[in-house]
Amino acid sequence: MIEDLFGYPPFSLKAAQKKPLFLEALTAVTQHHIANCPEYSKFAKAFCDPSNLTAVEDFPFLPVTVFKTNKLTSVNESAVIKILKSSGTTGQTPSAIYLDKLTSERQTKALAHIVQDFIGKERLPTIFVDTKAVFKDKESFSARGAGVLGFATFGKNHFYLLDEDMNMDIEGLLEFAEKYKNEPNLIFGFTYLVWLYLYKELTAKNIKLDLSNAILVHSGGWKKLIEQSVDNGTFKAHLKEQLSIKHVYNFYGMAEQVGSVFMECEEGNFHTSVFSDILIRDPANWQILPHGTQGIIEILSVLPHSYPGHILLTEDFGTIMGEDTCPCGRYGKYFRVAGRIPKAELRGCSDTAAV
Amino acid sequence: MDIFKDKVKLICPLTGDLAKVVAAQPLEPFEKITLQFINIVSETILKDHSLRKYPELIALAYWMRSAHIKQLQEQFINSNADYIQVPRGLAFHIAPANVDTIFVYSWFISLLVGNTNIVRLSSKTSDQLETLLAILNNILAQEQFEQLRNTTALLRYGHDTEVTEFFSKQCDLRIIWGGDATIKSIRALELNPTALEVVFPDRFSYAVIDAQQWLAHTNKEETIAYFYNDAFWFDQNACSSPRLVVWCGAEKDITPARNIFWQLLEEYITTKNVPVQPAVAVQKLTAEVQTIFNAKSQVTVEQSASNAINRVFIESFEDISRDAHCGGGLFYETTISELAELGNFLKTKDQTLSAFGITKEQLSTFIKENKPRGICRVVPFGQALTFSNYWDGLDLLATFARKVELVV
Repeated sequence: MIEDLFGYPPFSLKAAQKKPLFLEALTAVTQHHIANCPEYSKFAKAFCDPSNLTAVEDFPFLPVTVFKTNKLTSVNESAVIKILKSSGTTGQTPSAIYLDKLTSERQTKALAHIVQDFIGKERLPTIFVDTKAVFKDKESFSARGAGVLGFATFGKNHFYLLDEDMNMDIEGLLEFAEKYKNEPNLIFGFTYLVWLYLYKELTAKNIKLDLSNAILVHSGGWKKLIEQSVDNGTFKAHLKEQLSIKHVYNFYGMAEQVGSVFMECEEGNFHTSVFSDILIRDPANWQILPHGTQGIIEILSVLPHSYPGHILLTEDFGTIMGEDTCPCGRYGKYFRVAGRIPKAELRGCSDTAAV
Repeated sequence: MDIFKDKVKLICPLTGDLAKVVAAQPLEPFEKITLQFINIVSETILKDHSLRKYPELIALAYWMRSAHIKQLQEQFINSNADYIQVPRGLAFHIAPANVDTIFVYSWFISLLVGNTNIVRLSSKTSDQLETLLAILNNILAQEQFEQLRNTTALLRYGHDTEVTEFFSKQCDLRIIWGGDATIKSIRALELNPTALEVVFPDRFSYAVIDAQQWLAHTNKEETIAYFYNDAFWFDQNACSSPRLVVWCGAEKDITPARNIFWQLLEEYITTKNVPVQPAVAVQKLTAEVQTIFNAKSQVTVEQSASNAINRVFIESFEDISRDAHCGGGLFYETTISELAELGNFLKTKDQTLSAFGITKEQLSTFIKENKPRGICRVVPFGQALTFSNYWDGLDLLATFARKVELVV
């Protein structure tokens, strides 16, 4: 079942082989949530006949925002060991995701499986473009904290670039770069923080570094960067020019589905792994769209056990480019993300001008 | 008033003196110049065929027709001789962002009873609104309307509590057109102690259909078109847009009646060819899920061909989440065997009941016998959005004026 999926390299299964395994695991997870989360049970029964789900597209999908307004758990309160809060767009309520030991372990393990396919199994000296304060509270932390903690488990000689007040430790950075200039090392950070500190601050201070052996892994959304007209290509080009970083991997993921992240390969495509799947739905009628057609991204993960976040409709547009045929050689679906769906423009008196 | 020079933009009349308007004397109720002005605005809109594409403007122009204004005048004057109705003074209107024409109704009713008026328009604009403002400016600029120019200011300013508080302290009547959040934030600002405040908060409205009457109805297409207008003109976000459809009758009638109704509506919507905004589809899905979570009993999401219409069937009235609803073509449905069952369900938040196949007598009996806490208007399909001078249970003409008791 779910544990069996850990027995396969994360990008080794072709569609025909993955389909029955994934469906079986997804069915088990869904039945677990129906049996243990009353809200989820009502939800599933309102949208479908839960005893008759034969393909991933038949499973009902929860809009990701419901975690902002509802406490949804599928385990006893006493089993919850930590609460993950999504960073949330400015001014919005953050989501709260309740994690038990099993879910947390699965997330850590799955993340390691997936990332190691890109950076190798060896533990690498790691720069975190973040502060230790981000996971100071062990019971409640942000998606950023979860990312740093996740990567901490397969890095070594951790160096945190920022202090609690978000000031850069330039000296420490120069030391790190010098010490590990001849061996592979890892840089991990939130996309915007990487841009702000590693690129903009260093450029402003006129510091050029040789990080040519570094692999940069980053995530966290492009909203702020797009506002500054920085796309993925610009991002990579500037980091290469300023810091000689050649290997840059973005990943698509969210606090509501930590662990089963979608890594961006050398070809610029995000990839599903054995733990995850993706569907593209037509906003006009929720029908599944064929590969090559843009629609709303639905993400599926078999990892969530303590909260019913295994099948989520995101607020992002995306397109599946193909399955099992990415030139990078990894099997599974591969896709592109086009960004947030535009805000609704509704008329009517309920939406008024506040003072 | 210099402090507001940089903050406040006069929209109509284009040139004017805000200080003068604040200090101006009220007019006579139904003063000749007021009637002339309203009549010219009405005629200008109705004569210009290029404005036919703005149904809201046309509805407004019909409301402003001199024959209708005369009716209002008769309602206003035809009252007890033991009091005289006089203007309150300065009315401060805060208009909603998304219903373009509401501010005109609010302003004109206030103007008709003789008040001077300051209207804060939302910064949000539309072609329809700008067209309307241009018409108003053109007419108001005519020489004979000097008195109206001196007693009227339509303006825009940012979210500035200082400005809102200033007008609130000066005015004799503060009118806030909705949004509970807007009302809450403006209520926190000091209001002239002798001023009256009239607010129009968020509302919930619905349709009641007699299943048997609907099945027997011969002109179903026309009724569907009316319902479409009621529900979709303001993206189902007007206070009076139906959000809950209550089916009344026996189950054997209700099942086929529902099928026919929604099928015809889906077909009609297809002919309108209005694309579904992705964010609206997601919002509606979120509202559906929240409604399901909130419900004590199991509710059902009905299959629909497209996300133009989404439906949730809810058996128990107590499971209807008024606040979870987001508009945009989401319909709650429930059933009753007779009208009286609605009685306990109605809340003060409920405003308009659009009725099909139920007689005036039945409705009148229902309201008298059940004394529902909500409901301010009962209208036929197609008239849910029609503005009336009785709104949210208030006689606006009487409310915007003051009664001077005369017992000597």
